[in-house]
Amino acid sequence: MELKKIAIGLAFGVSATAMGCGHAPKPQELVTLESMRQGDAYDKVLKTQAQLMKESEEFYTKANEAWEEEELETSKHYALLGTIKLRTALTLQEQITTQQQSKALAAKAKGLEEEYADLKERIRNAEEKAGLREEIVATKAEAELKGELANAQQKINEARIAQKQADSVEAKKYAPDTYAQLEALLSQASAAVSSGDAVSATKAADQAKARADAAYSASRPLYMKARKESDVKAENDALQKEAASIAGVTPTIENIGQTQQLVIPILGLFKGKGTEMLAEKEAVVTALGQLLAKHPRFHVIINGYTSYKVPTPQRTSISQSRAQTVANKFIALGVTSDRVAASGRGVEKLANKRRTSNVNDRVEVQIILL
Amino acid sequence: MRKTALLAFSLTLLAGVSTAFADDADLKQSISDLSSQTTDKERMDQHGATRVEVSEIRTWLQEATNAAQEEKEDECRALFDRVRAQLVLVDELIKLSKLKAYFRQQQQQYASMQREAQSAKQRLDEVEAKNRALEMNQKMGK
Repeated sequence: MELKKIAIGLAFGVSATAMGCGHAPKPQELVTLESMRQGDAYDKVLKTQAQLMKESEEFYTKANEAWEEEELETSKHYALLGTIKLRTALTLQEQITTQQQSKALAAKAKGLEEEYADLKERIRNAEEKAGLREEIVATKAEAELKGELANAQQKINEARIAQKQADSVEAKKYAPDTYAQLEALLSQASAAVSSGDAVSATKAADQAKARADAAYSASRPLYMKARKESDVKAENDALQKEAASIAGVTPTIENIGQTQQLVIPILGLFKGKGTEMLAEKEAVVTALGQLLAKHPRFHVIINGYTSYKVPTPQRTSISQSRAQTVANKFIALGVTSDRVAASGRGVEKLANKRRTSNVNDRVEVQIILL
Repeated sequence: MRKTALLAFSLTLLAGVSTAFADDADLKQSISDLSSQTTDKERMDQHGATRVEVSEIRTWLQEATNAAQEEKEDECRALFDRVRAQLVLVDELIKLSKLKAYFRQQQQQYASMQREAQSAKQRLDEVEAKNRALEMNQKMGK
């Protein structure tokens, strides 16, 4: 378009000059060719498209000669041919330029593609890292919650043990209001554990234990009064005597809180992280279960323990499972479940100073004396 | 002698007429050939880059047809030269338009890749910032 404008402008100017000199005006086609020869690209194509430019030059000369001889149609014809040749040369040159630009862009694109691939790889790595970090945070939070819930469950177990003690003095009968509060608080604590609310569970369990202790304290004098003390002593004595006759255990009498208990440790009952009793020790547990079945007035607390071989996060749960295994055995032998409470104590009160000793993988059976 | 001269004249006239017929047929054939070549080029020009040049060729071919009818053979052949040169130009212009179309496509793809790379850089910055925050929280024991 620009070329055409220039051509028209030049045509007017040159025609006017030609008329002034006595010649017929130059044909429009010749004027156009002349203006194209003034373009910036002309010098460049002179070298790169030599043959076409030579032809264009020849036609230009012939066009001028024809114009000089006032053969205007011939001049117009050669000017058109010269223009076509020149335009062809310019087009070929533009093709070369475009190809060069295309090639350069392809090289740039390749570089960018590599950069993009590198970025994608870096993103993938960074996302993997972030994913792992998030997993660690989540696992930690889960472990914390599990730990808190395990502690709450431990408190509930302690409250249940206290409830068993209260049962041994018929607290439900002698302190009914306190006992009702105890049961309500225990239900509340269990529900809170189920819903994952460790704080509420711990609070309710602590309150439940306090009620159980209060119920026991209030009931015991009344209970003792109601029973003949001589009968109680005779039954306690009989139980102690029979327990002492069981091979492989050494029962002791201990005063725990306001109660007197017959404490019977069964050492090395488990192995490693196991919660199944060792076959060679099971006979002791059976004998104790039979003893308790024979004396239905006694309540029993079974405390499970582990050695330090068991990893910290698993100690409470494994010791709880061990206590429960023994409780299940007693129940299977005819001890009613309301007389039995099981509690996991982890690595408390080591039986052997060597912390990793298998002796510490044990249970302790506490029979609450009448 | 007269008969011989008459015969010779008749033969010369016949040969002249026959040559004139042959030239006329040759011109028409050339016009037809050039016309089909032009149509072919027009078909090849998918981007319409040579509409003006093709239109000029058609005008020149019409002029050539007229010249042939008026038995202006030289004028006709001059127009053929111009048409042939213009057909070469058309050919090169079509090639150029294809190259330019391809280049434009390359430019668009490159721009699109640049956008993608930019957005990837942004994503990387975000993930790295997240990583730093997580790392800091980890160090602080959160």
